[in-house]
Amino acid sequence: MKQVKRGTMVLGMLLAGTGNVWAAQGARHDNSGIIVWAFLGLCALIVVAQLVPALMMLFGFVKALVSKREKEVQVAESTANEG
Amino acid sequence: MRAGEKIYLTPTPVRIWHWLNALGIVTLCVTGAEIRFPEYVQVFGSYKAAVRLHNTAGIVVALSYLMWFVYYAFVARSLIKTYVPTAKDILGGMVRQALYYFFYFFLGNRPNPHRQTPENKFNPLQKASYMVIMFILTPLVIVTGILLMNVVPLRAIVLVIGGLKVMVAVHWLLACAFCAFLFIHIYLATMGHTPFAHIKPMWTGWEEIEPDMYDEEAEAQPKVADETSNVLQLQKEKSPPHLKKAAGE
Repeated sequence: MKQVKRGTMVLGMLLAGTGNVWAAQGARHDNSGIIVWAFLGLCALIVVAQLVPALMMLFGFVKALVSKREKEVQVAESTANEG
Repeated sequence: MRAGEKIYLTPTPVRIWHWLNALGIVTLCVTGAEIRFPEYVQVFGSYKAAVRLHNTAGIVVALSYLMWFVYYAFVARSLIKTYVPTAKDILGGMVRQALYYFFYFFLGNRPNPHRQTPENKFNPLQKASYMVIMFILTPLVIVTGILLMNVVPLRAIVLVIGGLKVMVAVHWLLACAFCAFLFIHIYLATMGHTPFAHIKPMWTGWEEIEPDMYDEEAEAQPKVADETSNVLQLQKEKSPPHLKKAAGE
């Protein structure tokens, strides 16, 4: 019985000293990381929303340029065949 | 150019900068208020969360400012032309634009005196206010912000400038100026020919020509020509017979 009492007392004394550790951990849980990432996510959304139409337009230009060149090649080939 | 036609006024890098800046400055204003008055303003939970978000938004605004500067100074090479008012702007343009904003817009009897073109994007009042914002206030708020974020390593510079109290006061006053600018900027952005006429182009890049901007000029030209031909016709009819003979009629 005495041993159990002594063991509980030692355990109590040990746990009493760990109070600062729990306090420090509690202070870290302020969700600031999530808010910061949400803000950075919104920033990324702005950049993507602005760049996607520009990239699509660029893709359209390239597509039009390539199709025009293909048509020119076809016309040149048909002219050569006729000649 | 005719009403309804569209001109490409705001390139993609400028639009990205503008909206990043808008999000950043609104975030900075709210988190700044939470840091300054933690007992009254509690939007982002804890004080620490507000500080972390304030610092992150500050870095984003500083980086986007750098992007804006590099684009206008080295890519478009139109920083001075776009943002610095000319002598003509200072002498008469500002008063004309202020009269439009205060009276003519509401009376609806005169068109906007400024004609937007890619080379002359801002009216004289915009040029003056943006010049102060972009060349004085923004660099100052970024510098004071960087110093406040790194007080310990940059202690020597903070002391030279006047200490932490002076730094905080300057940063706070600049923030108040930004907050005031934000409200005026949003209000004036709604003063196009429709409430979203100036806001939509800032997202798409394409600005629609205002109906009363160019039509009057286009319609005035034929009128002048008609009047001139009428006068000539009258002169012909009234001229004496010997002059008509000499003219070979």
